[in-house]
Amino acid sequence: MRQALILWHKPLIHFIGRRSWQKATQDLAPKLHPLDPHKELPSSFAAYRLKAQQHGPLVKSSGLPNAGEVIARFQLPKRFQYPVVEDLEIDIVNSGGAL
Amino acid sequence: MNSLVSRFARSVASTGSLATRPSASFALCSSRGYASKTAEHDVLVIGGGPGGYVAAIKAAQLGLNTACVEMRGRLGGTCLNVGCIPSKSLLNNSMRYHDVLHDSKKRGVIVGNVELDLAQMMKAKDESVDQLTGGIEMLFKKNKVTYYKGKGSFIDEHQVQIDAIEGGEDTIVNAKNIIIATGSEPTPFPGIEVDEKRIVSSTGAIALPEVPKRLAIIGGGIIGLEMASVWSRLGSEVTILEFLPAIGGAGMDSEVSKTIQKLLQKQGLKFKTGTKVLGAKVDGEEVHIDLENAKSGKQETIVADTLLVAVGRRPYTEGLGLEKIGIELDERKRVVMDNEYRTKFPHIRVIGDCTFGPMLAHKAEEEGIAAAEYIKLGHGHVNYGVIPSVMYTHPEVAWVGQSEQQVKESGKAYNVGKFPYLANSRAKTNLDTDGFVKFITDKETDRILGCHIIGANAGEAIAEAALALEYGASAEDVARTCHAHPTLSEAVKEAALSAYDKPINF
Repeated sequence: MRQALILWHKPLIHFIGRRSWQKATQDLAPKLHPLDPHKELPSSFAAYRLKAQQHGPLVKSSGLPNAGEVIARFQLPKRFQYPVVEDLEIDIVNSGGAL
Repeated sequence: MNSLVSRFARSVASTGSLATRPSASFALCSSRGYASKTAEHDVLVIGGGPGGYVAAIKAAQLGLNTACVEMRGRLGGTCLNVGCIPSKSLLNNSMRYHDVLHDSKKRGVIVGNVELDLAQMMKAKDESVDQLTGGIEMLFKKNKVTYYKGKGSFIDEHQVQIDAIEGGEDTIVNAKNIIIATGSEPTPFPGIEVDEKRIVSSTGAIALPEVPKRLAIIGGGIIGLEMASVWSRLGSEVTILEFLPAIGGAGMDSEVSKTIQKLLQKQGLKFKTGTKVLGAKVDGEEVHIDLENAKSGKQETIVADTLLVAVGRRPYTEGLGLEKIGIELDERKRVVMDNEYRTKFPHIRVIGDCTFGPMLAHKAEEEGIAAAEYIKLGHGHVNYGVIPSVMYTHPEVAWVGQSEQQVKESGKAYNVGKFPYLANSRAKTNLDTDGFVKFITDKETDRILGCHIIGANAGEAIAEAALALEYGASAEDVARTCHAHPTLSEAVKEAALSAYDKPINF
């Protein structure tokens, strides 16, 4: 419907569909930050990771939530989501109930 | 009708119960009042500024048991307490005073006796700050972030000692992940001692007890020029001393820098660019500042009632105990990190002013979100090519993306599209026509590479250009987007149109 309203200019912006949580192939090797003005990271970064056993990033993660975990409310079953507010209801709220 | 109202009441009740129900993951989380000698958290954020508090809220929203420690006793960091927010209050209110005094007659408004109540202006500023800092505490409560008021320092790589302030209890926090967000502090000028009375930093400059007759400012960057605007509007004779030949600091397009300097000069600000400050000393109620022309070597001394030192900021990590656990700082005392904000220790991350990149609150906020997402999800996003900068003088100056000089140096063929506010209908009706919008685009693809604006509300207008850059839009995409008439935003559309075709109204 919206497409029909646009005459002929095709914007450079493209919609690529709803975001999905890709299985991240986590590379634990430290890399330079894009704003780091130095040529390389101190050697301690790589050296520490070789010997360390830590919480968090050193534990290989798929990037996906664990079973039973959710990231956002919309991923919960519908009964846990916020009720949809209808226009009439918004009008009532905005008018202080004086409809 | 009744059923609708009762359904609404139910929806509020159910939303409220969802928002306040304690989750299992927060079972260990104790409020500050119940802080015990030791506590455990998934994430501890050290520093409650724009980077730190945003990181803490995001981490909590991602389901992590999160705490934040702040030594100031008030959240919001430099930005909210002594930086962006109080200075914007003074900029806005001093502008109103100046307008009433000098600009109302031509608009057909005759005003009688106009007086400055500086104490009330400072009170209004303090109230804005109080409301906003208090608001963050509310957000912490809403998101179940544990808030420790105190100074945090590393005991080892997983333990942080919190020395409490304001009668709190000292606590040792064990954290699986730690985010360092300790911010920055004003850089001192070698040989000049800031007493926050006659010689002030940006912190003192927003709290002067009276309007100085003569104000000298070392540094023609954003902080210096904003403070120059405030006090000039309130009646000070302001002289800006800048070592470089241009004002505005790094990143400002040189055409923009030259134009804003002319506009500010028209407002009465005096500039001494290419000038080296040799020293300054307080003599009674005056400050004597020794200067040297960087080119000719000619020396002179100027006298001011107040001197503001605004030569930049430096990372603040003092007392954090980084040396104790071997976290590296670089030659400029920035905490070294990798591309996922990790220090040498993968579970200790760093964001904001105390590490690489521009010292901007919104850059720190983006990094805070990304760091929390890296911890929970393994990925995060900050586009360092699209970090807007704004200078809140009048007119405002704002830019995003590359400057014309940067594009030229890259060797890429480019187009420039410019549109002056003089030709914008809303600016005309506002009697506020200084400035222009300038787009720099890739000659081959028309993709926007940068946008630079001088003009009223440039700080708001730049958001459109930032969105266009983030989406990889072309100038034509912006120009073919319908903009409401009459608005200042039409100047953005027309400048985009000028980049690949011709403007309509100029």
